[in-house]
Amino acid sequence: MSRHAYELCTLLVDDTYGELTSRIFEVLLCYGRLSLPALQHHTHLSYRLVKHGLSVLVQQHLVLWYTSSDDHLTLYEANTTVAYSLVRSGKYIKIAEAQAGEFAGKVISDLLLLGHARVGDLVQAYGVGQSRSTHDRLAATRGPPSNPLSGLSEGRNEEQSVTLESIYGTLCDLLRTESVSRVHLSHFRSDADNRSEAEKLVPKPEEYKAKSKREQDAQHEAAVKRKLKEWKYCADGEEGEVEDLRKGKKRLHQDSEPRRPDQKRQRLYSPLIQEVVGIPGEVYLPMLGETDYLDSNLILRVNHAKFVVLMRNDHLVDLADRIISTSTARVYAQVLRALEPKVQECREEPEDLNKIDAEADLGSLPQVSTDELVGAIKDSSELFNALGKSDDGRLDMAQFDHPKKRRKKQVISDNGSVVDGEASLDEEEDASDSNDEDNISDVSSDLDEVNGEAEFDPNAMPSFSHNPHRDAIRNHLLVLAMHPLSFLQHLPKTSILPERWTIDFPTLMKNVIHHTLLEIITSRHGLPAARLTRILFDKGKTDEKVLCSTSLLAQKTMRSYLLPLHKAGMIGLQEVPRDNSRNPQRTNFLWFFDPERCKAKMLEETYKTMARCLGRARVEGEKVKGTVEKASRSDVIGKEEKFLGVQELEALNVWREMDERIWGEVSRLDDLVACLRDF
Amino acid sequence: MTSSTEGVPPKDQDVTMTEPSGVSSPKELRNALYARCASFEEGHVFNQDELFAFEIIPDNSVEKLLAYTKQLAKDGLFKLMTKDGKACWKVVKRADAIKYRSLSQEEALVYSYIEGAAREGIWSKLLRNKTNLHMTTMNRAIKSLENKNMIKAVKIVKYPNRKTYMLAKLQPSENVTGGPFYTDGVLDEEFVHQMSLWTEKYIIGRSWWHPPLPEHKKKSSSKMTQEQAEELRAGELRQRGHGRDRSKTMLPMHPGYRGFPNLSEVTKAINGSGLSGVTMKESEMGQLLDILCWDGRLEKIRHGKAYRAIKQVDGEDGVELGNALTESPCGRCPVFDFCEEGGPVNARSCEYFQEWLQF
Repeated sequence: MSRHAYELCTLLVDDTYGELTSRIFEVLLCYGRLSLPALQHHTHLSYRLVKHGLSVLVQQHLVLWYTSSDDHLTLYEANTTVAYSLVRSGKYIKIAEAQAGEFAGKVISDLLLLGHARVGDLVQAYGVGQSRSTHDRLAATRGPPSNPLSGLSEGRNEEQSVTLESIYGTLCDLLRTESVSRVHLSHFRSDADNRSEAEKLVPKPEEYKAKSKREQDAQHEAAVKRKLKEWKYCADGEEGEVEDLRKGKKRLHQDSEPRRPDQKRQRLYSPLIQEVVGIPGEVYLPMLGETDYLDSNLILRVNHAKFVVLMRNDHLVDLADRIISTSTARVYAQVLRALEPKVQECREEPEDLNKIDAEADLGSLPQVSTDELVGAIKDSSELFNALGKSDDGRLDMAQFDHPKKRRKKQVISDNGSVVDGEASLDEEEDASDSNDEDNISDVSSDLDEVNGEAEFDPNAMPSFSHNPHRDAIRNHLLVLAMHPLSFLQHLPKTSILPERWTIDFPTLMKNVIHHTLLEIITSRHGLPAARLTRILFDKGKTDEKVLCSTSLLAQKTMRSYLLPLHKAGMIGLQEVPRDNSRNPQRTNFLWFFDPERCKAKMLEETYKTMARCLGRARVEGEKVKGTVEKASRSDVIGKEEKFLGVQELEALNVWREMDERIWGEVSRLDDLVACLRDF
Repeated sequence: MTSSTEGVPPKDQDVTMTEPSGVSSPKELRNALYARCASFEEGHVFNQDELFAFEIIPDNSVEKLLAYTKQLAKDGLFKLMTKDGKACWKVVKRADAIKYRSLSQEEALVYSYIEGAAREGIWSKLLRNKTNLHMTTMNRAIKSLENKNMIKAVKIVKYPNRKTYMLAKLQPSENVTGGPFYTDGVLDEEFVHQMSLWTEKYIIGRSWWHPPLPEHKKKSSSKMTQEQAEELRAGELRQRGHGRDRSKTMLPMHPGYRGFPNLSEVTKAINGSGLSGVTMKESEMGQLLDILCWDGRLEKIRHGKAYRAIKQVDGEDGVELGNALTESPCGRCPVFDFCEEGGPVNARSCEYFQEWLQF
């Protein structure tokens, strides 16, 4: 994170929690880890105020702390990730509402405002029927920071009749979808501290039974990683500090309709326990308690990582909608939804370090079968007419067959109508890498024929029974898989497993980020600039002359695009002297495009832009400060017409519109940050 | 070529061709030898044995052969060469020989090198190195050759600043001209643009499905005049022939669709379209298609074998594919780098923001 990002974080903290907190936060950003006296010294604040501010910040997870067991000194550190996430509050609420209903949005909004909260407190707060507003930005900016829960209510009292069951139901739903997670002590520590803490807990390298030092180290490393992961996801297996939380979880109620198989939970919890504790039988299933209520001492917080996954899904669906078609995007949304429970965070570290080099094993990725998807999509009527066919209506579905099967079939049914030279070429290549292959019913290559005659085909296997609903969905899935961005990967049907689909997120996101970068370059510098950048990306470092002839641009034109690109930091220039004299005449100048560098530059600019937008929003707010303050007085709210003059109302409306506009822009900028940084 | 003696000045009469006869003077024998050699294909190199095999040289005597070939070479009709250390000869066309004879020694030297470079042309610096002539001498020779319309200066696309010469009668090779995209050594941007536009439309029409517009259906269902029908049909034909424009309503093709055009199909189509008098080769078309891919207008599918148009392209249909960054005032701000809290440019006094907020 950079200066501009820090500036942005400070602005966000200031906006949400007020000046005291933002001042402490800024000092922490500026000086790094500080102890309380040092913090007091740098902020020029009284001990009491610093304590007060820190407690708010710690509650919000905006400040991490760590007390070393050696010298018992507590150090505080700013948490920029969570601070940045403040800008996403609105999105989180929207997503939660869409997923688990309006009340879930409310819970998320309150959890966002409170940082973390005990279940008991939440239930009590809702149980008394007190109305809570959703955490919209305006409320947050206007609400007094010390008491964030009493943000302005907009007369929405309809939720007073929330029953206890529905509260628990919603909380369990959120826990199950991992939108909220339990709080662990490690969540208050920085990654480095967590690691040193974990290293203390796991056995030393010397204690492992391994032949060489290297193997011992590797085992130690693995144990540390396991421990860290365990903390991160609050997987149990640790005694003592989370004992009470664990009790709480044991009494989690079971949702009446088991929509998701327990498989997932077992995957999440059991392997860790088995490995760490070493008791294979003890599978801990937190949702399977006997009572219907969550332990009121259970402490919950918003799980940012999961929300980023959900945001990514939305982004991908949007992209598919834009570059393929709306119907296809709908199918894609279903795939993402089906895979979502199996994806905990966007950038999951590979479990085994040795696997990084190897070609990503598609089999190990979360998968979804065609039948599951077919079941999930109820209405496919609009999918039928959403794909084009050639004029003669002839289709070659044979290319999607499994290589072996296809060869057999071509011998039988090769009547020369469909198979041509290209097909055989395809086949040769496909045979070598059958990874991308998927297979399809081997009944016929002509879809029309299939639709008409399949029912009477005695040879058709039951799983291949041609149902148009299934075919329509499958076709859209194939379209997605065919796309160069590799939206989807298919896994062929094997003798044991049905046809499945998976998403290779690292590859896909690399492509999407590249696509985004070039989109920005195109709109900023023009199409020829994008052409030059793409050439540089494809060909690597390139001499100007070669670039000129490859790009089919006149040298003068080309230079007029290269220079601004270079100036903006999108492409770089390397000098390679041909001899020791370093004479420019005897030097090769090579242009190159480094996507990582370009991405970092764009991110920087986006942070800065966001910071400027917020700065401007504040300036605009100051202009109408008096009116806004008056309008947010508790006796004026709801009766604005009565207490405010015409001019005041007008100014207020203008400001609100402007504020909305700026916040809208900031939220869109955040989408870009999410795409470039988090996905 | 042996028959072209027209326009030969009288002094060359001594080398006119005659048939070999029983009683032969050295001159006749020489002519016979020349005629025999000239009947072979152009550029054939004769060695000593081959010449003896003609059985023109009396007694196959080496001395005589040497004398004859020497004389012929002197007349410019034979060119002496060496191969594997042995002497061999090449026939020179009579007309060329005449040209040579009209040249001075330097000119002939320069001309021979330029001729040797054939369609690739030769750079003047290289020419000077090879001929080992003084600059002024060589320039004079080149100038006089140019005046005689025997050589011409050409522009090489790769090195536009180099003075390059080749024979006046030759067409520069594609390495020199840079292929169909260059006119007189300069990139013809308009040509590239037009060709790419056509190609793009062609591919759009074949890689996306354009659902029929609702009003078309209405028209066809209701009665319409013959003119209208013809117009509609012509329109459809036109669209089928020349591809389509992008539209938001176009839908992806069925995954089994085989009609995504590949390189040879596009090449065939563009050559058949009569768009340009130049016949495009596949390699050139490949270059053009690559450009379109790099422009983000096409994409390669099926392992790069076929092409498909990209649905949305910046700036078409009035769609600006900007994102939040490029649309915000800061994203296009010329003084963004200076923008600093408390600096001369800041968010408080920013004019661009003012404008954007007013909008």
